[in-house]
Amino acid sequence: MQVRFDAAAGGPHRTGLHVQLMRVCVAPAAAVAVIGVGTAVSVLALAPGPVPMTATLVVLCAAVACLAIVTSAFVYGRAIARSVARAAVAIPPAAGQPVAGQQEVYVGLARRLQGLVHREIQLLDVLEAQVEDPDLLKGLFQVDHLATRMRRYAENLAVVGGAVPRRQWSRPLPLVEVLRSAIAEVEQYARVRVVPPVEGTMQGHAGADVVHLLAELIENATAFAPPHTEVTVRARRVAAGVAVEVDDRGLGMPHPEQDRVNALLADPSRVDVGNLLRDGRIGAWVVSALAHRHGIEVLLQSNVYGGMQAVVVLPAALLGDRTAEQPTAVDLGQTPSSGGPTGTPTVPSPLIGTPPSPASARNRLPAPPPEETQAAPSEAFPVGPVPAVATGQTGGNGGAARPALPRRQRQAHLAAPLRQSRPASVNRPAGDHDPTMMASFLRGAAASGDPR
Amino acid sequence: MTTAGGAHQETWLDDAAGRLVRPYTVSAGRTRPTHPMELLSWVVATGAPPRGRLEPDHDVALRLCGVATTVAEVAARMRLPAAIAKVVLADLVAVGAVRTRPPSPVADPTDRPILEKLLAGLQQRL
Repeated sequence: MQVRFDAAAGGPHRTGLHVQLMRVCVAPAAAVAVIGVGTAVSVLALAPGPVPMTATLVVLCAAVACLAIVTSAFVYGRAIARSVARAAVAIPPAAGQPVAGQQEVYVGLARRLQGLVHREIQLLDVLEAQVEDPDLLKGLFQVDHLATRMRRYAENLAVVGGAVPRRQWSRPLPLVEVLRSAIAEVEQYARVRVVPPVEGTMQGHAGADVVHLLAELIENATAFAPPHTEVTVRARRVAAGVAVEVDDRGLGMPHPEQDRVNALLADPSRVDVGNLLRDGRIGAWVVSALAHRHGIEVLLQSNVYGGMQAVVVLPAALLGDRTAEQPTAVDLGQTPSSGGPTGTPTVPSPLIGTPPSPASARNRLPAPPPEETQAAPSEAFPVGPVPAVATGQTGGNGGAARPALPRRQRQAHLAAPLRQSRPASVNRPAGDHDPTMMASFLRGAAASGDPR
Repeated sequence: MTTAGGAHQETWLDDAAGRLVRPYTVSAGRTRPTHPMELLSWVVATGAPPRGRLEPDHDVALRLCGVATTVAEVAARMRLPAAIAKVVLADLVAVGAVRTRPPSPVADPTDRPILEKLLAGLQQRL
């Protein structure tokens, strides 16, 4: 049976959970680094004719950067193994229970890896801008691609430890760039196509997380579809926000398997991570953790090509153009009794339109396979659940389906004589710059009953 | 193994976070333009609708070619390595959206009178 989300084909091991986590996250990074050095050296060896001095330096620099990552990966791996061994002697951990303090160690190590990869990519940026020779640049690109994938694993490792992303943007990010960034982190990126148009922006603080979430789903799609087929990524506006759909043309997943993964995607806390790791499905867990953090809805379902479609609904709270969003949300909120698709709490249903709707997919969940039942009690997935993310604290997701929030009335809390009082700044000396003057002027104009 | 210091806690904001789209995705890994071009070659949009679909970067490049400009200028404005700008522009030439011309003689870097004038100008500045 095909097992999707097989990030690092690891067989069943009886070692501790965290050792497995390290193996799954650091091992690919180290492997990628080794390939990087190999690539750099082979580029140097294969370059036709006499290679210019600067070019030699360029490639060697890249190789050294990669080597630094390899070394660090090994050092960290060994340190982790030692710390786990020590902890195991002190307190024998129960199955699936993290040893106290280890989480911090992982986050710390993940951050160091991130720091190194970040510097490596900065260096590559400088080198790529200087190199004009197509062959050398191709080699640099291969190193760049490997470094970008290493960064993804390092940042995922931090996610496992509960850390926030280190790369952040204060400006809204164009969604099309977010999608392309996710594609860049996938091994077979050339097979992935973004279907235009992709419009809109998203909040910069969640950029890195959303990129990794999508990368994990796209990677999964490319890995389980024949090499000659392409994977398409679409983004479209829906009532709840923006839906990103990743379609592959590979083999589908059996329904019980789909249900299991969807249950995990809906709520990571209800699934035994140990079982998951023994199956080698760390990718699904990472997707779930990222989605949960930002109130993102993720669902896997069969598509018309016989392959799989991953639907990711980015809630309105994550989108950049908030001002454009608000009128819609208020309008929908004020007419909750109008019925229609927005009246139901199952957010993604209006956007999919294919027979296996999320509601029906979830309704199959009450009969999970035995190992799932073992992981979570039988009442874990009631029929027609409202996913935790939909009712989450962020409040961004199901916003369209809920009645409008109570709105504050300006100055309603003040005693009557205090209303319309002027700020203290009126006592400033004449001629001095008064930053509140324009506001005072506008307030006065509004109070005069100007119909505008 | 040293203890985690402040350097490992910092976040990278905006420019420090690096570019979101890696350059290799812009050209899908290609580094060799399908049409020969130099750094100072002129490019200008033909105005004809492109045959086939364009990637977002091709759109941006095409808009930059609205007035005659050089490959180097397009690369700088798109913040891309020159070799990648050449690949993108060569794609546009291939779909008939952009026309290219060899560098103007004025831009010949071995033209002695030009170089002398440049030197004189620079000396006046200094």
